[in-house]
Amino acid sequence: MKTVARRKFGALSLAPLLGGWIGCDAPNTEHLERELIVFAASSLREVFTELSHRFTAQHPEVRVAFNFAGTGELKAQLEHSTSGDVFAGADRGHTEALVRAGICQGLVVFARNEPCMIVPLEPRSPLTNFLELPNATRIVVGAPEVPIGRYTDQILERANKVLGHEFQSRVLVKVVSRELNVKQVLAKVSLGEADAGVVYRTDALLAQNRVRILNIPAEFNVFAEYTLATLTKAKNPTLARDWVALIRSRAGQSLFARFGFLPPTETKP
Amino acid sequence: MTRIGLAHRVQTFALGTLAALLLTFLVIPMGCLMLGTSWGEFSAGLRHPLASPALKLSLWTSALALVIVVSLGTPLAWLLALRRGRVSQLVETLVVLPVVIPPAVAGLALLLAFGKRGPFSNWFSPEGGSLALTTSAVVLAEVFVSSAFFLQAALAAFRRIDASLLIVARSLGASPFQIFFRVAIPLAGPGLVGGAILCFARALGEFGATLMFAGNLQGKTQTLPLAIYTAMESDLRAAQALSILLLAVALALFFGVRFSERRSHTSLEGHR
Amino acid sequence: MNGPGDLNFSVRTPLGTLVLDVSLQVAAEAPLVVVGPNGAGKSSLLLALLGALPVREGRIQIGAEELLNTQSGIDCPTELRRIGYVPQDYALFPHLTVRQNFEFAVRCSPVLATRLERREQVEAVLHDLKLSSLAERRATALSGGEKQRVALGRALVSRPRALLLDEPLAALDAQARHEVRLFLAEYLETLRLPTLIVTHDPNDAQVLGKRVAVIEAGSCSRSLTWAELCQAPVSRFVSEFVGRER
Repeated sequence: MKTVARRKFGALSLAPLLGGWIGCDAPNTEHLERELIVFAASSLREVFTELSHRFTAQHPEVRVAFNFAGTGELKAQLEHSTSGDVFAGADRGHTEALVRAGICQGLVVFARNEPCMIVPLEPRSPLTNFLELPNATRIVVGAPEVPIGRYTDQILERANKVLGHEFQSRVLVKVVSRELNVKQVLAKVSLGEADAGVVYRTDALLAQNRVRILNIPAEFNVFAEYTLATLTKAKNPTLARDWVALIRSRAGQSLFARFGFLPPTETKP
Repeated sequence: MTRIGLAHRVQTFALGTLAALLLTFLVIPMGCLMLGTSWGEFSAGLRHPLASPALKLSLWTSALALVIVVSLGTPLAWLLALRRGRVSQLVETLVVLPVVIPPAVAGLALLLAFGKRGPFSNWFSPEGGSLALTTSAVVLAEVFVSSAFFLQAALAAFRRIDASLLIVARSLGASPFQIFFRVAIPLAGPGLVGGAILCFARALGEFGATLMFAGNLQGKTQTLPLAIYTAMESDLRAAQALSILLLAVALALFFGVRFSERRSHTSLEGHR
Repeated sequence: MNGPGDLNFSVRTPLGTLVLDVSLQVAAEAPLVVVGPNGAGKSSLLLALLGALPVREGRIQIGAEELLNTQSGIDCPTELRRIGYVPQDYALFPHLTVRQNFEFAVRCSPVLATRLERREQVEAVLHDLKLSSLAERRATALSGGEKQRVALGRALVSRPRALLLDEPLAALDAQARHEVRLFLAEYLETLRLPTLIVTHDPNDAQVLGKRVAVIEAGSCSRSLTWAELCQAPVSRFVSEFVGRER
């Protein structure tokens, strides 16, 4: 009885030591595979996943791991952790902040996205264009803390200046939720819980069987600038640079175009 | 020291180490949360535009959720405690299920049940209404995720009541209402209060289901947890301050009610 | 012959591995003591009479009123049977005072109508059982003997038609048991209610009851006086039981 108890105790005391050893960040070269960790805004989910297949074709021993979330949330995570090789955000501001803080380097604008208005396909929506937005009963847009929400506010301000009639306040009064994630906006409109919403065209294109896209007139519209940067403390700096290179290559850019992104330009809209 | 004395010392030490590991792990994040913010940052965070409306909304929706859960859940727990058949066991499993359902799943389920595409959509409005993205949705989501905590505690408390007390009450001619209000509830009191605290705390902290079902609109559906999540998108310091606020409210509630619970408990000592 | 207030019953129902099969008659002026080995079904018999245990086949009658008749489908619910019950652990309401325990009983009673009647009844029983000085004490703050009197009083305050006591003295120490036994015997005489007392103590059987019924393995069909029981012990249990008296 005593020896059994002693053996159990011995095993128990080894457990924390074992745990510590396994949990330690073992260098990547120990594993058979290398891992490229990409932090990316939710709206890049589909195109980046497709891109990762191309990447692994070029680098067979590499596995690309993604962390998709709202841009601000990703920035907060990067400020407090040491993992990650590449950061891709849906605006300039967050990425510039990370560069200023020395967490990221080498900012490039790699694509632009155009917000558009969506309405559910079913039930048939009475709204036919952006100017009728104030007629919707329930509108869902992004929260002002996330890029799509900020862009939406800018669009409404511009529209207000041009159209007058208190366009902006008439729209805001109908807003029932300000989501923290563009995919959530899309989901609410797809489910019919909202009569209208504003998302990126790329997201709307992915849900064409559930929503109808209504263009926002160019005079009000803003372009979302997608920025890319590598992490200064990246564990795989060469792979990170390869990823960036793939995105900026002709093959990468045509993939973006296929998903509905716009090419980056030098001039600000 | 004898060999046995030494072995016992070592064993106690081992148990203590395991205990200390978990205890430290639980306390450290809360400590970092509170000590990582200076007083100035904290009061600035309190004055954040998101703070006050979110706190008010959280407090009153959670209170309303609690009232609903307690007024409907106490009779439910009581009836389940009285019957021991297979049906009541099944019912008990069902009502406690929301504890294991992930909040996001609960939110989706509520959306499917009470949303535009749900079976009740025509009841809410002739053109097809929806409870989603409203303040009622916040309360409903909170009721859904927190009721099981109250029900489990209430069920346990009612089951602890001596069966002969109930037989005596019936033999005296007490009606079901008289037994429920004059015998069952007073005797289960401390247990019910404990369950109510857990229920309120869970409702106060609910995030996933409310985000999905009720949305995120300041003053209408943005509860304090949602405000924290929203603040994190732009200003981590503000999120930290709001987190401390939520933690402080929860702790104040917890200790406040525990204190009153202990007072009523000592007066019922010796009841078994 | 069934006198005006006598308790007359015959129940047969499965009880775990046994079958409870008891037929007895309890006259108002002759308390009946029920004895038997552990697990014979004594306490279950009381629950069956109360209506707290389902009875498959049987008849329970007090005076001319039928409380249970499985053949004709009569089954009076526990709340309306008006049978006083004192369980083994007394089951006093711990959150109430002595007076409040009594008031609970009168408030539920279908018999006492006016507030004045109720108040007078409570005072009367408090007085009879010498509990007036303890009326404001919490039920949990009483001695064993006091608790027993309170439980008894509570069962009686709503004027039941019969009284059932389950091991009324078992929770008391030897000294208290002796005193309370005498008090109880005297008090029951004044009540004139058909009374059934379950006990395992031969002293109780001798002092408290006028007649004794022995339940063994769930069945019993007649009651005897103590003397008759001693004369011709029908089983080993009985001969040990009467022998233990000394």
